[in-house]
Amino acid sequence: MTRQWARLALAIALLSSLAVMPACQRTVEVQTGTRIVDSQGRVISEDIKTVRVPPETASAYRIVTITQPDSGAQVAALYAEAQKAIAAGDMLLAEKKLAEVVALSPGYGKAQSQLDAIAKGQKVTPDTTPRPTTPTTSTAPPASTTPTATAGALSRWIPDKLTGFTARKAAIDPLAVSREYAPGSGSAATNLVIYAEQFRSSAEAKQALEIQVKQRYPNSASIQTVHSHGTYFGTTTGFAVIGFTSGAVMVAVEAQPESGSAASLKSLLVSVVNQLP
Amino acid sequence: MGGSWFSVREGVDVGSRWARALFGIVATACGAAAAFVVTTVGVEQVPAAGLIGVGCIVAFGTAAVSFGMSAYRAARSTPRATLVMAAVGGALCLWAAPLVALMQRASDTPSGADTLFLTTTVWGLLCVVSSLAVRTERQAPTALAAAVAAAAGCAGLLASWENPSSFSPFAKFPAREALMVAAGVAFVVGSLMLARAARTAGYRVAALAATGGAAAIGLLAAAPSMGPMMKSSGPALPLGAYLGVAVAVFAIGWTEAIAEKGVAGASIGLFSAPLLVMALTAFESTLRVYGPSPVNWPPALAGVAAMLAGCVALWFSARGSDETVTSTTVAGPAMRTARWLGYATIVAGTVSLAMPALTATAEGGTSAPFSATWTMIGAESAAGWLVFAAAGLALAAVISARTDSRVQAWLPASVAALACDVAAFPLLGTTLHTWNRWVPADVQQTYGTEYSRLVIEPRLDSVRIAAMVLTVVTLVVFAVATRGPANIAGPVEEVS
Repeated sequence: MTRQWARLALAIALLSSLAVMPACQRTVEVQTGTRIVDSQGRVISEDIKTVRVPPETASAYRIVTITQPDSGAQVAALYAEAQKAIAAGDMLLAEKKLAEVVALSPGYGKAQSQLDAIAKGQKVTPDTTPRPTTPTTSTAPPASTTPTATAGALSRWIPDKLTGFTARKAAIDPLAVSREYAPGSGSAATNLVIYAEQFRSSAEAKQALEIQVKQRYPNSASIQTVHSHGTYFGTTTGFAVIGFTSGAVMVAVEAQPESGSAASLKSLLVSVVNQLP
Repeated sequence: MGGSWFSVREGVDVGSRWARALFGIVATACGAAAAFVVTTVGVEQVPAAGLIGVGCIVAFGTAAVSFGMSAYRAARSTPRATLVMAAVGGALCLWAAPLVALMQRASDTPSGADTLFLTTTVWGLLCVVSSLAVRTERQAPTALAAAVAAAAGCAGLLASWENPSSFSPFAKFPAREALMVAAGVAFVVGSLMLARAARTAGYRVAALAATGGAAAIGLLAAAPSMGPMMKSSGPALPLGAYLGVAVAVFAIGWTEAIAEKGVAGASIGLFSAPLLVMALTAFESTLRVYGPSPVNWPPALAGVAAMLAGCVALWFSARGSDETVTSTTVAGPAMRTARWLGYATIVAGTVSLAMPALTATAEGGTSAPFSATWTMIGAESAAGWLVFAAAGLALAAVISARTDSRVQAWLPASVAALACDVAAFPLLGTTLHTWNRWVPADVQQTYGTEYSRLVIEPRLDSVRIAAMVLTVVTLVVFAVATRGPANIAGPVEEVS
């Protein structure tokens, strides 16, 4: 019987070794580097490598994408210079410019065929067709990150610019909008979200403020007038909010502290409300 | 055996005891599942203290009406200390623990699957672990192996609710999740107190006192929010009433189950709750009320099979405090071989928990693209724990081999071990909920959308395969060892 329990103890000891396991150093393979794309998202160049790092530092490794918004204009300018050179009979310069165009945008205009013709010593005529400054083949407008028509007047509560923050993509529903804002370095908050919802009446908006803001953020509660709005400030575990109504619209600005108490974010949230309409 | 399983032994009607225990476990599962559903609806709509308080008050009323005056008269003749113990136990496990858990919830933080796992399965595991440590509960190691099997099955079930599942390896809200588990400690302490009171005063008196204790503290704590709740035209009162009925069913079932089968046996009800919630989802999708089924059925059913097998093994291994177990030592060379194989199996199963089991890749994000690939070990996978549980069950079956007037515990343990090994295959690529906090929040929040993705690929682990093979070999040798009277060496040994 004793031997049995000794063996069982051995098994338990093995099992308890699992508790030590998470402390063992494990690594994560992450990709990091820079990717340069043109205004259409096509990769111009990239320098991305895979590295092994400790898990706790993994989130710091990202692929930084740099968009060259003027690459389309740059290609158009190079192409125009090449056509001028062809018209002037300077085939060496034309060949150089066309090669640059093809490197940046292989399908642009007649660049490739003109380049081939110059290489074969054939006669080349300048391309006089009018071309857009960006070599786009799509007629679809670029996706907007700013709500305008859909959310109507609500979009004014989620501005593109907020001092100390960078606006992220807005989430838009027919009667509600929200937007996340990434804080700049040294900010007291780790993130900030503005939410605005349209109601049928100001009474309903006030009721929503009561249920969605006051009841959920009951701690450190205070009421103050900010930027002519009668606002409510409150906190709950790890979050602080300032909310108010404007007519039939309820607006809530929520933030999470970098460290310490959520109540410490009051002045920051007040400064945000001061930037709203 | 001296008769059927439902034989009368020592003046106790074993059949009716089993029926009461089974009723208690079923009621526990129904109550826990219903309470989860109601609190999920009520979260953020009704103040947590108000909702739980109203629930406890309604539960007390329901229990009082159900038991009638006889329970009240019995309570009057019960020692005050016992009633206080039941009341405090009830306040801990019916009011404090659910309140702490509910206060950690927001609309989807943590997700429903995570919440259900942490507040039913993990609480059940804590019950079984505590029952190994507490002398009055004195469970066999088989109960722990069976509970691990049931919990791993629950993980497989919950991880297959959606694809990709919100039951992810990421701990998005670690503090909230840690508090949910901590609430489980209060639940276990309360349950142990309640179990002791129930064994002394009977489950009716204990359940009445428990709901009474929970109602008293619930009323005090909910008083500040009662006014707004009464005036509210919202769902506060109906939800409180629904929750009250659910808590009453849970309280009565739980008290009866722990009185008859101990805290470990009663935890079967907690392990079964996710199955009932999934059944509700399946029922809804059958009616096409909420669109197509979100359940990934093959791994979900594998999880259900493992969970049920673990629960059955737990049922037969768990015992109430007044049950005595007599055993006959099974000896012989084959039995010795089976034991050594059992030890080798558990060692292989344990080592496989530390071996690479999955390759995970997270890509995307709403800001700068993130791409990471990492290895997850067996302990972070559902299959890893199923294989470990199978190994544990095989070893437990061998070392607890005995014949007694109860149903033999080793047979369900052996069957559960095989079921776990089989169920591990569809769950090879299923992760557990782990303490991964380093994957950026935007990836955790958006995987499964066009913004980011999480891909899990199972890896071949020779140690795990060895553990599975050893489990089968151990059980085969054990079956040979237990066959025939030649291998049975007396005399009868009392195990307590």
